[in-house]
Amino acid sequence: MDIKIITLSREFGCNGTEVAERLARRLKFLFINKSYINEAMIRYGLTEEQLESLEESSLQPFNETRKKYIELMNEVILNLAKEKPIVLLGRGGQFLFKDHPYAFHVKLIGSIENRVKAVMAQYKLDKVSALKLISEQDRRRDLYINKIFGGDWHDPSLYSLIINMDYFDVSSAVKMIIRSIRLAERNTPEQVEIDTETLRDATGSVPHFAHSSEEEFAKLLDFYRIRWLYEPKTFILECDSEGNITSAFTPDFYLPDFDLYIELTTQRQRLVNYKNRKIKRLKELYPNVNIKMIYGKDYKNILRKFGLV
Amino acid sequence: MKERLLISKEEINKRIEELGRIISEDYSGKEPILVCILKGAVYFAIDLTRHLTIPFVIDFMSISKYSGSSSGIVRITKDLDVDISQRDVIIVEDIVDTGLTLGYLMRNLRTRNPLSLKVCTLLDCPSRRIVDIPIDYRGFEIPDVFVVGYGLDYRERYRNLLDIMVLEE
Repeated sequence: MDIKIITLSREFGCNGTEVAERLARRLKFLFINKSYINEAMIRYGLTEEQLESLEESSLQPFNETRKKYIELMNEVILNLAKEKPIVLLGRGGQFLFKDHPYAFHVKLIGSIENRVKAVMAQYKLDKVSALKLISEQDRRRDLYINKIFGGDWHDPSLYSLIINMDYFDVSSAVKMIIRSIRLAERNTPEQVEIDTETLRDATGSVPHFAHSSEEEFAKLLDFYRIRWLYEPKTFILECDSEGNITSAFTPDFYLPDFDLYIELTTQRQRLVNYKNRKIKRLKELYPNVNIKMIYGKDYKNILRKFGLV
Repeated sequence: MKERLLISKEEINKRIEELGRIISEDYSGKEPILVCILKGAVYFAIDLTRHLTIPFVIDFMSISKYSGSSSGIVRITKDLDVDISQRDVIIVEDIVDTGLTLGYLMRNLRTRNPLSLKVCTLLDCPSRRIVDIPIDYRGFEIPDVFVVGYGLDYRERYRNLLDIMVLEE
C-alpha cells in the first residue's frame, strides 16, 4: 500500500521547508506550502489580512473568525489530499491526517544550540535575537495546534518518524524519510477507507467489548484523549496442586499513561461482591498493581454528570 | 427529583474566606492568573477573588463536554485571552470528580509553559476519580453523590442555589 500523504512538522530552525520541498520534488508529490495555500484560498475570496490569519506564526488573536478561516483551509487541504499525493509542511498535518491509513508523519527536531546557529545564519541575526525568534515561533506553533486541534504537537506518539537534525543534513534527512516510507509501506495493512466510528485501543486494535457500558467508557476515555487497552492482561489468582489455574482476574481497562487498571462493575450486587473478593486477592498478590473499581452507582453518576442519563 | 442540603451557604462562605486567605499567603508578592473553568466555577471564582488580598488576573476557559456516542474529541470552546507563559497559574474548578476534564486542562495548560500550575476546587469527589490529579486547594471533600447549586447544574438548572444540595431521585 502506498503512502499518499506526508506531513512534516518541525521545530523552528531545523530546515523544515527545505526538507519538505526536496522530499516533494523527489517523490513527485504536491508540496503544500504557504503560496500554494494562499492561491487556493484566494479562490475562496479571502483578503490579504485574512490570508495572514491562516499562518501558524500569525500574531492575530484566535477569535472565531480566524478559527473559521483556518477550518476552511483545513477543508481545502483535506480535499487536495483526496486528489493527489501531498507533502504538507506544518499546519497541524499530524492532527489533520491522524490515523489516516495512507499518511506518514515526520517531525524534525534539533538542539537549541544548533537551531540558534541555523537561524542566525539564515536570518542574519545575533544570538539573542535568534533565540528570541525561535522561542516566539515555537510558542506560536504550540498555540496554533492547541487552539485549532486542542492537542500537544510535542507528543512523540503522533509521528511515524522523528529526526534529530543535529545529526543529519537536509539530503540525508530526505533519504531517511523516503527509506522509512518504503519500509512502512511494506508493513502498513491495507485499509479501504478511513473508519472514524470504530473504537480502537492504544495499539490500534478493535476490541470486542463484553458490555455496552465498557464501550461507552472507552468512548469517554477517547474523548478526553486518554489512551487505553481493553482487557490486556489476566492476573492469576490461584492454582491447584498441579499448577492449573483455578482463579484469575482480567480487569476491563488498562490506562498506560497512568499505569492504572480499571474494572467497571455495573452488574448485580452478588457479582459485585464476587469481583470485590477477586480484586482484594489481586491486591494481596500483586501489591504494585494499581487497580480501580468503578461501581454501578459511580458510573451512573459519571454519566449523569455528562447529561447522558 | 428532590433536593437535600449538603453544604450551607454559611459553610461555603466561611470556607471560601479561608481559601482566599491561604492562597493570598502562598502567593504573597506574586500575581497569579486564576483560570476559571466555565460555567460551573464562575460563582466560586468570583467569590474567591473577593477574599484575595494579593493582585491577580482572572481569565476564563471552557472546553467541550462529552455528550455520548460519536462525540469526537475534547476541544477548547473558549480559550484564555492572556498569555500564561512564565506566570503562576491557578485553575479554579467547581468540582473535581473523574479528573478527566481537569487532566486534559492540565496537559493543555502545561504546554504553554506556566511558571507554576496549581488547582483550586470548591468540591472534591475522590470516590469518583478515574485519573489521579493532585489538588492543591480544596473547599470540601464530598461523598459520591450528585450535587447541584452554587454554580453546579443539572441540565442547566439549579446553578443559582445559594447552598450546595444533593439531587436525589
